[in-house]
Amino acid sequence: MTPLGFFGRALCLLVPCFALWHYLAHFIAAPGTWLTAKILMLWLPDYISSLSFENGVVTVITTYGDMNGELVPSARAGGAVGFRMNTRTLSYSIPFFTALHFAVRLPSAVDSYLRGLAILSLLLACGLIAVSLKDLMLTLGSTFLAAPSVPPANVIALAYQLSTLIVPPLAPILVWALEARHSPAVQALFPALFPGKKEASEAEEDDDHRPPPPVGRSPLER
Amino acid sequence: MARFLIIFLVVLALLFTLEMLEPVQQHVVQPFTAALADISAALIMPFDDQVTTSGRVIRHTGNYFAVSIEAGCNGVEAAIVLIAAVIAFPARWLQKLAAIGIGFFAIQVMNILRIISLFYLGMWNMEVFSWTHLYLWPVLIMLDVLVVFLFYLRVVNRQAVAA
Repeated sequence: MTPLGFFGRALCLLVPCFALWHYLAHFIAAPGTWLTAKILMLWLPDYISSLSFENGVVTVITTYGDMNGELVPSARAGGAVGFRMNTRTLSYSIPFFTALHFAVRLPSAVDSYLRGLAILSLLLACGLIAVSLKDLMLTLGSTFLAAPSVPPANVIALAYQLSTLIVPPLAPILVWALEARHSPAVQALFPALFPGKKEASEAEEDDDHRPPPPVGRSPLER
Repeated sequence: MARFLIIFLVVLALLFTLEMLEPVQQHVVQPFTAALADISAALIMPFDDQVTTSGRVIRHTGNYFAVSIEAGCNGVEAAIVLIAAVIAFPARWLQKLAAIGIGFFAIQVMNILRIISLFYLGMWNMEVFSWTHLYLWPVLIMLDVLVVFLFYLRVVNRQAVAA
């Protein structure tokens, strides 16, 4: 397989992976969401009264309600304010990782795939926590930010931007690279990354008798 | 790999934090985003003369559909990822600068394609627009970054062998 072939396969696999994810997004995001709920309920019990998860959307109900434009405890207000989070805006990293992972043959593919899923689910939980903090900050304002256990507004804003803009598309590539770096197929596919290992990879891959690889510098071995 | 990964993540975090600063947003990111909107509209206009721009907004004067190019849609974050990867990888500074310049151009070509495609998808069907905008295009842009970076590694490695 050539690098072009790899990217072609990854692009083709994106279609079924995204289709599956579209219909199974609720179940795919469930572990990360469960972890998020546990952490947030332990961390911010004074601000979050409940978290529910339905059709890939997390609904967070706060312990505050609105009374004449003022935030007061929900018991006094007779109702509570809340917000919703669409887990799909973060969990699309999982079909992306799946497409990359199965675009090339890897040794113990299932084990490394499950490891990758576990890492991405943890990152999904981190992302959901960042989004929750941002929404709590915008919903409850200074009432929330004044709490000693809550990070400063700038930190929340940065964590939110990082979790939504950078992590979902980048994490699958990093996790895939970490999981695939010992694979002979990947070493043969991208010899620039593993110049010293190309010969061994070719022997394993077998098919042709190309001349020995140039001995260059490998960025990933340093 | 650990060294590469640490440098990459540190540079990524630094550049991303820098990008989020208000003066940088005001004097660099927002004017750049407005320029992207102008370029996208200039590319559309020969085929559709009912398109206008105003700041970061591209508008269709026929059906009044409009899109605003916001943070995350201007390719700056993807460029930051590429710059961090190029800086983390040991090479000569001239090679790094060339990679950043060419890579930035490649990302923006793809990004303009994204903006134009989303503009027309939005006019056709908002559900398809949202799905493509939120989930599919970020993946395609990041794949573009990966392709550019792997191509760069190949060039650097060849030059090192030739030397």
